[in-house]
Amino acid sequence: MTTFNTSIDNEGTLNANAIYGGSIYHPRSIPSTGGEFATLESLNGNISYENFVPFRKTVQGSRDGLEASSFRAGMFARGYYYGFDFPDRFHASQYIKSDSESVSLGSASARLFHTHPSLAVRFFCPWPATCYLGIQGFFSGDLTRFKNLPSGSEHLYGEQWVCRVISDGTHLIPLDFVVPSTRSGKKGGEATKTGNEHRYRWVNRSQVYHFDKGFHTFHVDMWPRIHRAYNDDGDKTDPKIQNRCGGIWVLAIRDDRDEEETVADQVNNDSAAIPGPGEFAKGGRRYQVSVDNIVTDRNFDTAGLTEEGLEKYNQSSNRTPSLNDNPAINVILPEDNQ
Amino acid sequence: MSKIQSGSLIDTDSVYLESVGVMDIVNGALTEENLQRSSFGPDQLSDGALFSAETRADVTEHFIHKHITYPETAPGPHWYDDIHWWPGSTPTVPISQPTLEGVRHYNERKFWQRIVGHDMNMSSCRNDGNGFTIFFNYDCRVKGTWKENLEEDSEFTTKNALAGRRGWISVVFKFQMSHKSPVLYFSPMTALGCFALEYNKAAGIDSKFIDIEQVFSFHETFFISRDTLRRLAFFNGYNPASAFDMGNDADFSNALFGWQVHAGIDRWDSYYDKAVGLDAPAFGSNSHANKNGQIFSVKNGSGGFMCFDYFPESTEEAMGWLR
Repeated sequence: MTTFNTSIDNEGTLNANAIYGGSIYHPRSIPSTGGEFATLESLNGNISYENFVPFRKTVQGSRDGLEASSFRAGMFARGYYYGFDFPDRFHASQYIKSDSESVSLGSASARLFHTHPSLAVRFFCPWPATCYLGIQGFFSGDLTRFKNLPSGSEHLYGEQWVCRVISDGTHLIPLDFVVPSTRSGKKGGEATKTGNEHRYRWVNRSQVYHFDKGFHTFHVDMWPRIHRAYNDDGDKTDPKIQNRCGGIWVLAIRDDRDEEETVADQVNNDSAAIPGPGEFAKGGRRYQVSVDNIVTDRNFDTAGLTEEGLEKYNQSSNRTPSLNDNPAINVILPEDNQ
Repeated sequence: MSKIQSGSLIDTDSVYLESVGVMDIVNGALTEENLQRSSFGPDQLSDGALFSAETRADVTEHFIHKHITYPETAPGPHWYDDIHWWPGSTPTVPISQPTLEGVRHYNERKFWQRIVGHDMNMSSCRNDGNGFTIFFNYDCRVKGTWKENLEEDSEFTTKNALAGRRGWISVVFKFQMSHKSPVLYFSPMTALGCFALEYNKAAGIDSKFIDIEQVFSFHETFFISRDTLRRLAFFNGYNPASAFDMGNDADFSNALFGWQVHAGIDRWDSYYDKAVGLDAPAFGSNSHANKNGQIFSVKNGSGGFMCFDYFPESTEEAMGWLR
């Protein structure tokens, strides 16, 4: 890359010929990329719009900039997807004893649930990210609905496979789903042989969620609610469920600037969300809130500013403070920073 | 100081410092050569592709009882409603009816029963004045029905129009260019889900039937710019040429997005009596006398959106969702 030198040195007296010969009107050396110093004249042709245009040039020529190939893959988003089209099969006997009626447990504790092996993922977030998590699958069960329950209830609660979505040990209750009964139980307790296909269920559940950098888990846990012991009189098979196909995905979108913006947004748009006077921390930075709710970045070190720079910095603090302001750019640089 | 100013003495030092000031910036600038052999990594990035993201979740059970006459919404009783032009906003060449189907669908669906807990109030998109893309997701669990169940031997029967009763769920979207501009409504035809409610006329009264257990899931993508919002505003009855803070100079730094979830029930089999009015509850006092449908419940709803720093270059693509 061309390195630019000063057009004259700063010793001796002012010499018009030196300025003329070494500067913009009559450069004594031409711009070069071979390491030779170039004068400022080369600014007229070296650093220009055309330097950047090759990276992105639309038909209209209306936009320029850096295109995706300039960024390392996975800088803004990373994704994981696993899909399967073979049946995953579970039987109630894997969860409960054959002489049990699990419905009497009511709302089962988490330790009774088993993780669905195909609908489970442990993934790594390389940066704080907003994630779009989701699962889907086609569930066909052989679950029975009985007319008369041992409890004497006349209600026709069917058997169910209760499914929960868990992330990092947290039960995401809004994503709960249940696979319903598919076959009817006669009065004597005999169930029809196979489930009715119109009661098979396609499930698709997803949520936008925030994760910090690191490893995280996301999976579906299942548990059968069985009304009758499945071998009580030998005419009821072990209730099962088949997951004929399905998938699980995580799409992580980098958003480590978002926390800052969230604060800025609160300050700018939502007066109710402005913290009271004092200091608070957000996104790894500390902010000062004054009595009139002006927020300034406390991390900016004014010690390196010149007198003039400090004056301008103070002026800028009084204009429209925002956490989006970057004092190093918007305020002023120390003038003698060479 | 050495800064070159009109009327001040120019000496060697001042010329030197002036060139240093320029040189430092230029030598630090990026050129193609800087980039061609490498790529930007995390140490260069202070930005992301995401403007904002929000999630709304609800675990309350909501019972849907409202009967709707034309759940497919075209052509329902409000399909041909005229545009209500807001005072002072009538365009020079006014149109009477919205040609956007999404607005016509909204005109219908706004009369459905609203599932308030699944709403998202207007939420900030933080788009910094740029056009952007919204990815929307919503799903909920249709938990069950009440009051009517299977016949005596509890067989799943095909008698009596198994699918004769239907439950409907739809999503209505809300957009705002800024806090000052009007809320614009839109509900695309595809933002609609339907499922059968199993029915048997021999069922006993007051027995529960709680295992319908469906999942309604819907995803949508919107491209948002001043132009798309202005087009939407026009069919919502706001001529954007009038003052609605939607002009070229209007604030677009913080567009707003939200949604409402609406639902209803209907039936179309031989047991259908007649519409009892859009506002009448379908369920009557512990009897089958009201034959307009069977209530169901919605629980465990989750909706969310992500706003991306992307807007299509093609106008056709950008406007394509506004149908």
